[in-house]
Amino acid sequence: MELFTLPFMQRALLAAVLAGLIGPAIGTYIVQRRMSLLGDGLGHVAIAGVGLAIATGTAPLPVAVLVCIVGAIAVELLRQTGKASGDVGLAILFYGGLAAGVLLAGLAGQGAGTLSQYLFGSLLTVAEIDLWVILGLAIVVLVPTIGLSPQLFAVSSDERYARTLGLPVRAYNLLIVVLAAITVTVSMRTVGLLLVSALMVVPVAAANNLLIGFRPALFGAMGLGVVAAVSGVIGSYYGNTAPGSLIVLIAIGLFALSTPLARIVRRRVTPEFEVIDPEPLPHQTEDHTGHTGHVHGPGCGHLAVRHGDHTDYVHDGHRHAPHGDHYDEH
Amino acid sequence: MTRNAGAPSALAVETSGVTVMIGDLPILREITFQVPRGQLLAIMGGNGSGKTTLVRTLLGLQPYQRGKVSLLGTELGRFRDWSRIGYVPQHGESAIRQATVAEVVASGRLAKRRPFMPASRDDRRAVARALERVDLTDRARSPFSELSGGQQQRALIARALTGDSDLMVLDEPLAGVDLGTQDSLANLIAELNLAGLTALVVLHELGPFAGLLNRAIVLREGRIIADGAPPPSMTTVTRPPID
Repeated sequence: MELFTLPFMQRALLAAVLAGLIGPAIGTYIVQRRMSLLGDGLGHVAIAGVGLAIATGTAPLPVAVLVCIVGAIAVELLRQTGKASGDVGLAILFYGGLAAGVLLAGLAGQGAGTLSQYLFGSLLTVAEIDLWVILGLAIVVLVPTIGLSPQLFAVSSDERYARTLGLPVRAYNLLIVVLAAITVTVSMRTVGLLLVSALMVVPVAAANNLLIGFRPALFGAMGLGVVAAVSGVIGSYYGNTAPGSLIVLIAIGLFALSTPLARIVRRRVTPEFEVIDPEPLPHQTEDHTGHTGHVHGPGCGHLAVRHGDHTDYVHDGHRHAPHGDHYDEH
Repeated sequence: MTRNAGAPSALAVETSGVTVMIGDLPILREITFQVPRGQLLAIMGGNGSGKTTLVRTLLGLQPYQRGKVSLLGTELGRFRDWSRIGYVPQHGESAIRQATVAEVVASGRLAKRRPFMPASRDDRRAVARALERVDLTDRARSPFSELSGGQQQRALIARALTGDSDLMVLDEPLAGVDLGTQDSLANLIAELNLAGLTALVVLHELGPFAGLLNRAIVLREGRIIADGAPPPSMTTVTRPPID
C-alpha cells in the first residue's frame, strides 16, 4: 500500500474522487436532456484552452476552464436560438477547438505527446496548486447539481413545462452547460479530455439501471463514478498506464454488471400491475400441484397482478392467488 | 385551497385580437374570448387548426404579434403567479425517464419553492393530497415510465394540482389512452371543475366530455368559428333500427 504514501498518488487519488463525484452529478442532467455527447464536444473545446496555455506559457487548468466555459455558452446560445440545427455549428466549434489546440501547442514547439497527458489523464501531473483549483471548482459544481436538483430535473425533462412553473429556464440551461464545461476541464488531469464524457454518462446509465427515482440515481451515479475513478487510478499505478482508459473501462464494466444486477434488485421492488376494472370472476378451487416448495409473494419472481382486494400471480400460462389451502384460478 | 389575497378577477382567461405568426404563416388570427372562473371549457378543432398554439400562447410559451392576453386578471407579460396555473402537456411531450411518480408530481410544486430549499411539510402534504386526488397514492414510488398511459396522464394532472391551481390547462388529455380510461379522466376533470377549478381542455373530439362541458370553442385555420354550449355529443351517429 505504498501508493497511499506517495504525495503524487495522494493528489491523483483526491483528484479522482472529485472527478468521480462531479462527472456523474452533472452528467445526470446531460443524459436526461439527451445530450450525452456534449461532454465529448466540450472536451475538444478545452483542448484549445490547453494549447493556448502551452503557447502562452501559463497554467493550463485555469485557461482551459475559461475557454471551455466560453465554448459551452456559445453552444447553448446556438441551441436556444435554434441556430444549431443539423449539428453542423456544433461540429465546427468542437473540431475547431481540437485543431486550434494542436496548432497552438505545435507553434509553441510542443507535439502531440505533450497534449496526450491532457487527453487521457496522467497520474504525475496533478500539482498541489491544481488540487486546490480542482477542489474549489468541484464545490462550484456539486452545490447546484445537488441543491438545485428538483429545478434542474424539471428543466432537463421538459423545458416547456418548466417555463409554466415560472422557472428561469434559460438561466438553468446555461448553468448546466457551464457546470459541464467546468467538470470537463477539472477532470482532464484524471480521466483526460477525450474520455471525460464517459465518466459523465456511463455511471449515470448504470445507476439508472439499478435504482428507481431521480435523486437515488443521482447519488448512486456519483458513488459509481468515485468507485470507477479511484480504482482506475490505483490500477493504472500498478499497470503503468494512462488512468483515463482504465477508469472508463471500469465504468463500462460496472454498467455491464448493472443490467443483470438490476433484474435481481428491481424484482424485489417491482410494483404490481393493476387490473383497473376487474371483471367479476367465479370462485374456482382447482387443485394445483405445481407449487411444491414455492410460495407466491412479493419478489417471488412471478408477475404480480393487483386484482381487487388481493394479488394474483402469473405463471405457466395461468393467473391465480393463494386462498387458504388451495389456489383460486383467475 | 388557498387563493391569492389580491382582488380576484371574475375572468380566468381573457384574450382580445390575439394574432400569432410563425414565419409568414398566420397560425392564430384575431382570437378574442373570455373565460369566466369556474367554467369547464373545451378548445376543439381539427389537426392544424391552432388549438395547441392557442394554449401555448395563453401560457406564455408562444410569442404573439398582436393582441392582448390576461390570466386571472393580470396581463400575461406581468403575470408571475404561476403556482395558480396548472398545465398538463400533451402525452409524451416530456422526457421523464428516471423519476418516480412522487418526484414527477412534486415538480409541480416548484412554482412555490425557493431554490436550494428542501421541500417543506406543506410541499410534501400538497404532493400527497394531489396523489390521493387522482388515486395514485399506491403508485407514488413506482417509476413514472412504467405506468400505463392513463395513469401517467393522472400523474401529470396531480402534478398540475400541487400548486393550488385556480386554472388548469390540459392539452389533449385523452390522446393515446383507451376508452375506459378516457371516461375516468373526463370524470376526474369534471369533478375538479365542480370543486371550483377552471379547466380549459384541448380536445380533438368531445368523446366522454359530451354532457360535462359548459362551453366549447371551435377553431378552424386559426379562427374561432363557433363558441357556445356544446351539443350533447358531436361524435355519436344514430342509426335507424334494423328490423
